[in-house]
Amino acid sequence: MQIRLDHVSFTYSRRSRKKVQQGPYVLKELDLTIESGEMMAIAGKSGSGKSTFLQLLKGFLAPTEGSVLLAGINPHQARRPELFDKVGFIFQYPEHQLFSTTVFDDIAFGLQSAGLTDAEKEAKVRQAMAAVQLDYETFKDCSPFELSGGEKRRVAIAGVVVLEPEVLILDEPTAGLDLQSRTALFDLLHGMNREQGITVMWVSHQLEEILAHATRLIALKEGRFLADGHPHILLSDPVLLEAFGWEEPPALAITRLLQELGVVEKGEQSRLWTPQEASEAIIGLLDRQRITV
Amino acid sequence: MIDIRDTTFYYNAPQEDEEDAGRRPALSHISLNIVPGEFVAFLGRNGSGKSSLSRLLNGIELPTEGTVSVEGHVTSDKAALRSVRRAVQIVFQNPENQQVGITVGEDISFGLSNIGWPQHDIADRVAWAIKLVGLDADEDRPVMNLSGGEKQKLALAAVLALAPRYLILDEATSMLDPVARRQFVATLHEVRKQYSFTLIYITHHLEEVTNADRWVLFQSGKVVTSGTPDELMENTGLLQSCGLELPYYRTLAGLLREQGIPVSAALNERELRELLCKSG
Amino acid sequence: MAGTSFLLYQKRNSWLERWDPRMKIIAVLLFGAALLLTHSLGLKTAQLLLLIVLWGVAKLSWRVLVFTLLSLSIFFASTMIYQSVLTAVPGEDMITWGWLTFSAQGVIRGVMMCEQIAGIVLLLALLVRTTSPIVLAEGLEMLLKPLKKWRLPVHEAVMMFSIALRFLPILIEEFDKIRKAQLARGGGFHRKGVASRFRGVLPMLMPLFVMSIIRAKDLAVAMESRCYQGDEGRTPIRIYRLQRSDYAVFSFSIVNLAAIFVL
Repeated sequence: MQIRLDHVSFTYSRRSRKKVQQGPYVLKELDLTIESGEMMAIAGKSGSGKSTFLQLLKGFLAPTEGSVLLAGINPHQARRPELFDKVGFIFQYPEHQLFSTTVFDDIAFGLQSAGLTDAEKEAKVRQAMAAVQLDYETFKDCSPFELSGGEKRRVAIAGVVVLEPEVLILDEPTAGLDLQSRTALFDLLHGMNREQGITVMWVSHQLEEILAHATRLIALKEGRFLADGHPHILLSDPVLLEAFGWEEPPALAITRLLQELGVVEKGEQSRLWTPQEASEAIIGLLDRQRITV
Repeated sequence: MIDIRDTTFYYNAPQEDEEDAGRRPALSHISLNIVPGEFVAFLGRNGSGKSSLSRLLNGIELPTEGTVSVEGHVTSDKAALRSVRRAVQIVFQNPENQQVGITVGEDISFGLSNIGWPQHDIADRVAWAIKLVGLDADEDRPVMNLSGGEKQKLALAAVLALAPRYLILDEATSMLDPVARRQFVATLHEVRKQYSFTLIYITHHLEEVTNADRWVLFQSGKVVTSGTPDELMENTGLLQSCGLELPYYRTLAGLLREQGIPVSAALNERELRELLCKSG
Repeated sequence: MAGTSFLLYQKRNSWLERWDPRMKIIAVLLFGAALLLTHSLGLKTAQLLLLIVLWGVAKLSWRVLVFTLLSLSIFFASTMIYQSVLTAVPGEDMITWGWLTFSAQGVIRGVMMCEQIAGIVLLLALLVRTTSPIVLAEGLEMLLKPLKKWRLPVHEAVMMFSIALRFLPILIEEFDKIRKAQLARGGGFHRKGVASRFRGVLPMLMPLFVMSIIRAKDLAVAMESRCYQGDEGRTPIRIYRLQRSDYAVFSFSIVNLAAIFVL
């Protein structure tokens, strides 16, 4: 499903006496098209309008001006709010929203109103648990509160995936997870993106994570998109790095350095050099220099 | 000195005749010394015991077996508890959950008031602490209006006001964004220049503790190993099994040094550039 | 957050904020007693007007005042009906307007009752909105000190009260977040019958409950770690010395109460 933002502005208005007072703009004149199947990271400090932006995509908020189009339709105007159901939204620390006594019940929570038979429900929960790589038989009767941090988070994600969204929005999905759980989570997201063509959008503060997993990055500052493009290009742009107080990820800096030295072809921009590859290239370069000397 | 001797700790101590007697302890048979003035990092995955240990150090939890003593006071000695706590202070992970006061000043005063700080000096001490951490807020500023990074700075100010000799940071930066995190770490080291204390830093971000005197690696409630960062960085496999990822440049420096290329451990882009361009 | 910010104390540097908390609490009690005890419509009205003037002196928002009074309007209406129509005593002057018959004395009784309700609410609102919770707690603790002799946990109760006030806004924010998260999981929340889609309140309350417990535990650990051991050996954060204005407030409250018996 394609999502399009057409000149979207947003302000929390305050009513006082007679006139409606317009507060300062949280988002200002945003234009954006997100194609189906993208892996997109969203960056920006707290207060940059990030969270408002995400809530617009899910329909929690309606734009003050402009329109949000899902598959070409404005759900607010066309009175088709069910279109927003296609957008799955996973809050930060989603495990805090678990409440049922068993993993099965928690995941099936969203299916209650769909009028499914028990067999259909079970099939869907099975599928969702498979998608987040939790074994159905092992976990279905567990209490979600007894699981480890990474497992709890996967249960919470399954609770959204079970609704079969076409777009998945995650707010800092790896916050508080350790290395192993972070890797497992991104394997999962890549899998859903690749196999089911789900658009994945996530908020991240970790530049390395963005670099490793996103094919597109949008950076928000003070309610505007300061940049939109491939993370490899954006994260080596000194102006942008300066604006956000970021430091260039080492992998990019090395790749650029190797490019300048002619080790890497100019066109080879989308490839990142691991420390192993970089060390081999550097050793090779030094050897060649020694020979020429 | 903090002396941890053969300490085992269960959150819920198992009864011997009960079935769950085999339940895994949060910490098992830990022995460790922390010497004054040291900067030591506790590293490991979630649930590896590093945070549990920090709670034993100021007597919030007491060891199930073994002893923990701080400057000669055993933490299980009720009479010494207050002096133990005064000596060892903790900044916790969640910025929201550690402020008691509604305003910055009230919050810093809370601890001072607990330890019976002379009343006429409280206001001065509060002002001193705010200035020490460079918090851009007067004492009347409501805690609710502070950003996450500012709240952690306030937490730092509030514990430093008590003049602790040991400071534990229990994943204090893990809920901050990278910019706030860098600022917090910078503040911490700035403060440490003016006012020296033993620093115990719990994290899973190695880049924050590359300048530590010692790393202690935890796994499943046990200390796997401890040593200087330079020693432990050689062992990437072990680090990875503890959920730790070496910063990119560190890994690169290690690989290059293995091949006999003379780069420093604190390799950076400029050094690499000089190396490659000088010889070329 | 917008919803709660006007519920709580905000620093405005008004004259009322400088009053001693002990005296403020005593004055509120005395004033409240006077308000309830007067039988004179004139005195009650004068007292209510004085409270409104104080509201202005405290630099509090008039919008909040109106909002507070409007939220009580249903009480006012039912009180008026009850006093003037339903409990009219034979022998009172009955007035008939069209189909409506009511008693003149009843109306006065009703107005006085309404003034009482409004007065008490404003009095408490003034106290809470012009006193920082910690100051209020300390004042209360000092006043209740004698009760400690009977081993009543005065300090603990007062501490709990002030922490509850501190965490109220956070909990309200959290509730909003949980609500949205559960809506996002429930699917179809844009359509009619949002409420019906939630079978019971469990999905909302359970996470809120769990979160509150986690927070409470975290906070308890943080407090203990900062050497909190009940009120043992604590120095009060502020020195409270009664100023001339505090004595004036006290004297006025006494005079106000005495006036009732004289007049």
